Amino acid sequence: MFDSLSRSMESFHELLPYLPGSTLIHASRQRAMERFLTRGLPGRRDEDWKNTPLGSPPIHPGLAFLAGEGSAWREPPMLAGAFGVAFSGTAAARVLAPEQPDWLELGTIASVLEQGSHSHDLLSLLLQRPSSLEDSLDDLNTAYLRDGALLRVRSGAPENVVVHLLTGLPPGRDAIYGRHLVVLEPGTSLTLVEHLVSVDGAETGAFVNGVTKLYLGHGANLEHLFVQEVPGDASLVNSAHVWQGTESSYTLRSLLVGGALARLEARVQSSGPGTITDLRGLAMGRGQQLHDHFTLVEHAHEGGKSFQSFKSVLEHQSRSVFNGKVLIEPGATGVDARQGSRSVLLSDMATAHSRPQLEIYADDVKCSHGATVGELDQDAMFYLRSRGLSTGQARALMLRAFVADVLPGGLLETVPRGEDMQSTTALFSGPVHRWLERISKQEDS
Amino acid sequence: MSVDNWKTPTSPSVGSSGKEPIMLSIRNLHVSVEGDEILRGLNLEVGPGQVHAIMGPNGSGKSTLANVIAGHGDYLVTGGSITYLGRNLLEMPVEERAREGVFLSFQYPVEIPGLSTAQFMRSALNSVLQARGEAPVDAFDFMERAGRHLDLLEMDRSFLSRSLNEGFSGGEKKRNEVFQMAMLEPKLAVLDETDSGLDIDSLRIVARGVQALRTPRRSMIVITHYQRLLDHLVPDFTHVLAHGRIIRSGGRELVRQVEERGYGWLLEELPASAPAGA
Repeated sequence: MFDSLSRSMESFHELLPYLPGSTLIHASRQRAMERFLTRGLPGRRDEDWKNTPLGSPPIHPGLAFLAGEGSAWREPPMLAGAFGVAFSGTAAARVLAPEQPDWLELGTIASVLEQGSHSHDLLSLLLQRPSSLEDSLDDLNTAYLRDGALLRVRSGAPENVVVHLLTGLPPGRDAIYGRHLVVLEPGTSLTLVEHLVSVDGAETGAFVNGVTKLYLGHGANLEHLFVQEVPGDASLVNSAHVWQGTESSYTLRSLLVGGALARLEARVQSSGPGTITDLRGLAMGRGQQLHDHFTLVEHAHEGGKSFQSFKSVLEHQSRSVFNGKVLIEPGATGVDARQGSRSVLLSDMATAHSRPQLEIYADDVKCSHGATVGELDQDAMFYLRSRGLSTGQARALMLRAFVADVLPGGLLETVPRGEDMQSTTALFSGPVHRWLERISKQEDS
Repeated sequence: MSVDNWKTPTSPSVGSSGKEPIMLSIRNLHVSVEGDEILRGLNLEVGPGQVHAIMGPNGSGKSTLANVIAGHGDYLVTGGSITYLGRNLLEMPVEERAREGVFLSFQYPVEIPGLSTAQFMRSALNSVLQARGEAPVDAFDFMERAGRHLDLLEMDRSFLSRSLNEGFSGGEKKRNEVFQMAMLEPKLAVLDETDSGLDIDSLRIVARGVQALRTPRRSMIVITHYQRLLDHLVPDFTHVLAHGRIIRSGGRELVRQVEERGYGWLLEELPASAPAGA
């Protein structure tokens, strides 16, 4: 054990000179790596990772990644009308917006790191940890942080701003560390699309450790869309750390389709009263895939509302995990927190784990949670088949109905093509349709 | 009287061409549900274009018959046969029966939240059209076809965008069943208590809708408790089902006799051994 730890520290020291940032940053990296090595990767002993065996992915990034020397990649089309940042894991982050208006600051994390003390405020936001965070992946991310997007929406911004953050994973088994920083100044709004794909659609076995830090000012409104459709057997752990100012509204819609193991964490903390938090996600698993949605909503102020709905559809031996924790701190009166998870198993071998947790230390709060796991309703299947639909078609139609309410804008009726693909609704509908089309072609099993 | 081997006064040559097969021929059908024998030697023949009414007390096996024809997996056929247009119906999967023209109007239509009626109906119609070798309909064609039938059933266009049967009143659900039947243009329609739970106005609309779908070629089996649907939809033949078999058959006059006298007199006429099954 000590051997592998000291080797890890050695590897880290070899790589450190290639990482962006001043001595100050490198000192932070060093401390983060020490904390990480003390604790190690999360495993079965960690309650929050009990059903999600991360195993031992390659944690040290390759030099190509660190040096940002990889060849540029041809990004898939950006969303219509969106500002974009593309980050390929090997190439440096690239801002895809020729002109930036006054109300939008769009840059790269590498430049924030290089500016050192000149960007002190941004650095402290970039490195802040949620109080609930216990595991060590955030430390590992700090140690090896290479690049990502910096995004600040200033007052005066119009209401329909969309920013598309595209992360392309290279083929192979690289370790990829990205971090985005998103700041919404008071009263502004933004649709943020985080989109994980593979470079040129190739299969990848990468280990991704991605962190997005999101700060919502007073009355700000953020719609955060996360889509992961990475082919291959990648291990993908992404975290959203959210600080919600007074009367701000944070909406998350997550779709996990790809990878061998994929987890999305949302840790949301109120920093003022009257916050609204709406978290929804869908996992679609097949083969041996494991998809995990982890949420922690911390109501530390009065009058907050949170709503959570997470669903999974599981084929073959796939698994889904939902850990949803709601924490209501003393004094956070009048909080209304609702949470639910539903899973449909399409095979006897599929497994859904659901663990809702409520911790309430305040009076006068409303909380509810519920979880269901089951098969598709047989009476409904008979009804649809009696109208001429095959078993596969009937299943696909019922699943469409099941998943639609956790997707942004619902599910398009048909597969989006051409220009229609460039809407956020289409971005979610595409992978879901491809998944369901496969189901609809299956004959009786 | 010989009830066991009674057949409708129909022969395979009844149709206009003189050579077409019987639409539906059920012989000595035995069916169990969860180990209980519900149908005990049922015989029925239905010719093209005929409307057969099936009446009978609760628990006599009426809905079982409807579900077995449609192919519900909970109903186990333990003996006998069903031949549909010369084919063994019991060997056909549920969807194949539908594609070949068998339609069941459900007594309790299933609610599917999140699935729009339009999307469901268009998918179903296209499956059936494909099986018939016809081109699928696009959204525009679909709306045109659907519109005609909705008008007849006095249903608003907004039906199509609502989730399938979710929050529908009893009358709306039954109208939706008849709407689906109109869209799919079946050869053989089985209406399982399509009149139950309807008020007078809904009943009139539903009955008129079904009556409009009556053609010289399309056969119907109308399962009902009451005379009132049959006032609008006059059957060619009437059967009384009790204890899992047909105990009396006749013409439309049998409907009135049952309405006036109930089922008791028919049950009393049964041979003592009959209820136990043959």
